[in-house]
Amino acid sequence: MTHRSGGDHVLRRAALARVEGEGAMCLHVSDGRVTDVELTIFEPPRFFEAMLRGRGHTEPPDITARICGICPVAYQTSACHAIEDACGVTVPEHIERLRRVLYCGEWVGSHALHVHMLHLPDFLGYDSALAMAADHREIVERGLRLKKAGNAVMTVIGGRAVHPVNVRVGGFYRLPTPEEVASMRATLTRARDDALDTATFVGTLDMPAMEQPYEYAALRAPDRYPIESGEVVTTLGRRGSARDYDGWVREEHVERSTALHATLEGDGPYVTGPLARYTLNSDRLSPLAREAATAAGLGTTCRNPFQSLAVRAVEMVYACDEALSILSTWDGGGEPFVEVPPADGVGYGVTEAPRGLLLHRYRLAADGTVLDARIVPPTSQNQAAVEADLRAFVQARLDEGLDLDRDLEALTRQCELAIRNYDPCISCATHFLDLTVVQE
Amino acid sequence: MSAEVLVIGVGSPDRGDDGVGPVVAAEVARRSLPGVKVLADLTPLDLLDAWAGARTVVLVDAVRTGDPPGTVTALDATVTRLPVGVGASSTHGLGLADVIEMSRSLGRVPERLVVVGVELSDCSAGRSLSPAVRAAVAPAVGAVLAALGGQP
Repeated sequence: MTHRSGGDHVLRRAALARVEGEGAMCLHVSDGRVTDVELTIFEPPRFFEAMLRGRGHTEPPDITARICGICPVAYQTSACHAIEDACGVTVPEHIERLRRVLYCGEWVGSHALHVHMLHLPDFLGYDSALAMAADHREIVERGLRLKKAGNAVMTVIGGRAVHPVNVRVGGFYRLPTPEEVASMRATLTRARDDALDTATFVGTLDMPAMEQPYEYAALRAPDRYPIESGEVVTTLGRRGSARDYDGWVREEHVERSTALHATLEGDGPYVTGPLARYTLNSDRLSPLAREAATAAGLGTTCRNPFQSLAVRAVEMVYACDEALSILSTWDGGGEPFVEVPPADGVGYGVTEAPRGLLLHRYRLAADGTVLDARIVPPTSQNQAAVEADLRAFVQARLDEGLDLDRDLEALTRQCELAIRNYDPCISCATHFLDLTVVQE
Repeated sequence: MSAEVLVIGVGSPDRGDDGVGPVVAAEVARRSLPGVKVLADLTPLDLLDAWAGARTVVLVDAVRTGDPPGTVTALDATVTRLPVGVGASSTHGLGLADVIEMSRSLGRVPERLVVVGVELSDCSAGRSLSPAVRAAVAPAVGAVLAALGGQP
């Protein structure tokens, strides 16, 4: 093997584009070796956990929804689960089912935006969705239709598309009318066809080769693909409840980032999100989503981070299919919510946000006052894996003899793509991107 | 179906002068102009749908061009391309100019699209409008009405 990239080089992006929030990337390369990788998150910290102390036990779903404009339902659902857990309340099945449909809407909207507007331009060689739209109008139109379908579900069940207002501890303020259910079914039926087209199109794309060795963590449920419920399982054989997961996740502050870096019990990087969900749960897909996975070029597991694009497309098919399945047997439900009387205790809630596992933990006083809160979002959990991916990806290109004096800019662009594989949500994590490759 | 004539206030009421768009839109709504629909609180991608099929759209937004705070400008975006990727501050970096140019790529630009801009001063979280921008609300409403002028 030859190292054609002698000397020192820096791959740098001072402000990462097409990610949610503010961050930067810097890689140092010295004589053909990657010597340092830094994903820097400079979005200001947001102190949500401290803000929650002293609030009433019914408030966290509305307060924490404000952490993210793309995945508020994830925050609301994890918060409701944790508080209901603390208070010893189990919600009736119709509430659980409607929460799952609402969450499906969020998955469709979030994935549609990332796949079509943020990630596909990389694969098709454009700087932005705007530049891509001129040549690939149909792809952009399809993405917009899917985003709109997701928004429609959020609006009907959640009360509005961003930061839903109809979610409460114990259930919902009101349940959808039969006409609203019929309208959602019509929208989702069209969206499912669009999602299938996206999955088939993604299957035609060339993906860079890469294999991740990390531990994958995701929820797993007995009879369905994980969204709002299930046990936490990992590819190294961990298996436990939300409470166990709270004990596994260690977070530490690193100077370059306002987001905490997470590990599982102090071990190396782990990955949460589409690849982990799929690898641990592809046997739980619906038959139609399974077909979409085959069309998208996926096997039963997926360890190539660039293929996350394909997994998101398949998950959109699944989310539409699953929501339709639930709504096809929806009989109007029952009471919109159950009372959740406050109780002294600690509660845990973990759900699959579009970007991965989202853990909430609350300690409540007897009168329901929040004494302590912990929120572990997906992007902070994936930070270490993003850095490890960048190191492995750039080193592999250098080992293949890539000439950094000639291809520095092209490689830097591929690094940005590698970061976008995670659909990082920096605003959520700061409680994170600019990209620099330094050849020194 | 979308209304044929739309006035859309763009911006967040919780971010100081960024909230001027919705404030101006509310003032226009208060006049109950026949045939004119007034909207606010839309995400950037919602805008694309909101004006699909509309004949005339007037957008009101806070802008930063270097003019004195409170300066009101009107730009006919039907003919003038906006500088994209500049000053994008919304979710995932899709700014108003990007949305307008994407709309152009997708063939969704209304027959007439006017952007009324109010030069901002302070967009701190939790603030209300700065004095200079508050004083510009009436002139901005006038600019919207002028842009609607000649419309049935």
